[in-house]
Amino acid sequence: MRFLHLLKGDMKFQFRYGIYFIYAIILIVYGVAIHMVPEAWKYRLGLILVYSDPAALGMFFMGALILLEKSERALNSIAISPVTVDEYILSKLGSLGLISTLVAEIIALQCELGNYIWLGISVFFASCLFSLLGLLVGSLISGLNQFVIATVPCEILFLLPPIVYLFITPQKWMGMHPGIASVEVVMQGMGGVANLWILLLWVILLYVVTRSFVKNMFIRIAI
Amino acid sequence: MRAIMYSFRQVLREAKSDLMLFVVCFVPFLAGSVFRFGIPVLEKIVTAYFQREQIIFPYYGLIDGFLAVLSSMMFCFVSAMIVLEERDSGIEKYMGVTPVGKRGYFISHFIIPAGIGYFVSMLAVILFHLSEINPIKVVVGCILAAMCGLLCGLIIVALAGNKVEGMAISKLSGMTMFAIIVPYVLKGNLQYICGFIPSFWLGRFLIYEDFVSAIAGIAVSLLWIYFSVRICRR
Repeated sequence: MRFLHLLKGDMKFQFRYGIYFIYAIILIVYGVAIHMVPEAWKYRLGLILVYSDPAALGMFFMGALILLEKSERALNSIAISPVTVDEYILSKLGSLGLISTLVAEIIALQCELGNYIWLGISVFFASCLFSLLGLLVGSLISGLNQFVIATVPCEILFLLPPIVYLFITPQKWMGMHPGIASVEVVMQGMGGVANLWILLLWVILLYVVTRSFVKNMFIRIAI
Repeated sequence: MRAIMYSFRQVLREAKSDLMLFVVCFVPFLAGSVFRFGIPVLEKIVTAYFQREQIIFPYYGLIDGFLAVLSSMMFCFVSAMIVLEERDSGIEKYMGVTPVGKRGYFISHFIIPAGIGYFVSMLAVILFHLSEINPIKVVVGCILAAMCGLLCGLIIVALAGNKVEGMAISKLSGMTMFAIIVPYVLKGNLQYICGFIPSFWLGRFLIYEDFVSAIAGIAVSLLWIYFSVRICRR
């Protein structure tokens, strides 16, 4: 019940801060762009758009969310409240994952990517991965510019390979990369279940690491 | 003037402590070298893949335009983020009653960075251009690019109340830069739908090198800057 309240609160804040509004406008812009490109390019463009934007939005916004919570002393209250670190993280992942999945599905429909259920699952987990990266970096930084810089290597490491993968001859080992695994799930649907497990493994691994960093952040704030 | 320069030094100090200063100086040249050496290779790959003679080549001018806008935008984006930090900690309000004043604060946080961005973008374009360039194209094109960058930063500060809103709006303000593509892909009068976006005129100037596009671009940018500053002052 407490988790649901937290999730509702996070979603309410994200709505108030205009994230939903911004993505409504972005969807219109993407819609126009998608209709302007030749049919043959739509599939790849759709995949690139899905994995470079909605899936990665958690990483983009997480720093600002944490810094705002720090400056408004909301984190101080959360740190000494009964809310656990897990509830705090899962609520952030769930709320941002919901926007990611929703936006990705709309883009996918416009580009006729197919495998919509698998796409939804894959984008949700990819979004969790990026949000966890954002949380990890956000728990260590003290300024927005610092966050922007610190996330650049993450973006290159996690976003670039799936885009390059779309234009080269695929190799099986490449599926170990979480971004590529995620793309593979969309491309293959049911056939890409193994990739979904790889993605899930990455999420769990990163969750464990991020959890300890967030816990330390809570301890630092509470003291 | 001394107060303004002192305020600008504060911006530099803030950016330096975040390593951001190093990044904004480095990124235009990194992006430039990636464009200069990577795009022709990518062109070879995609033309072979899609079995067409040219795919990216007709848009080399557009890529140069992107490089110019990117360089200016980076400087103004960093300033906008610093303003948001200062707004959250309340420094921005106090600046208004110091000798710096609101006008000085605006000059030190936006005009000077945009000016530096202008020279950096000129240098980046001269060093890493893919298309044919000439002095007029570089000078005027970079003025338009600097104004687009300035506007990008101003929109963030004018519409955002805090950091999260700032990040959300930065996404949107960054997207206004994509209107530079419109003259390249939309022919005929339909393209003028985007005439209210400054980067659209930069795109037109890069194609036609006409002063009508340059003047229209400067006029539209000034109009946007005027309204953004008015919102900021409220």
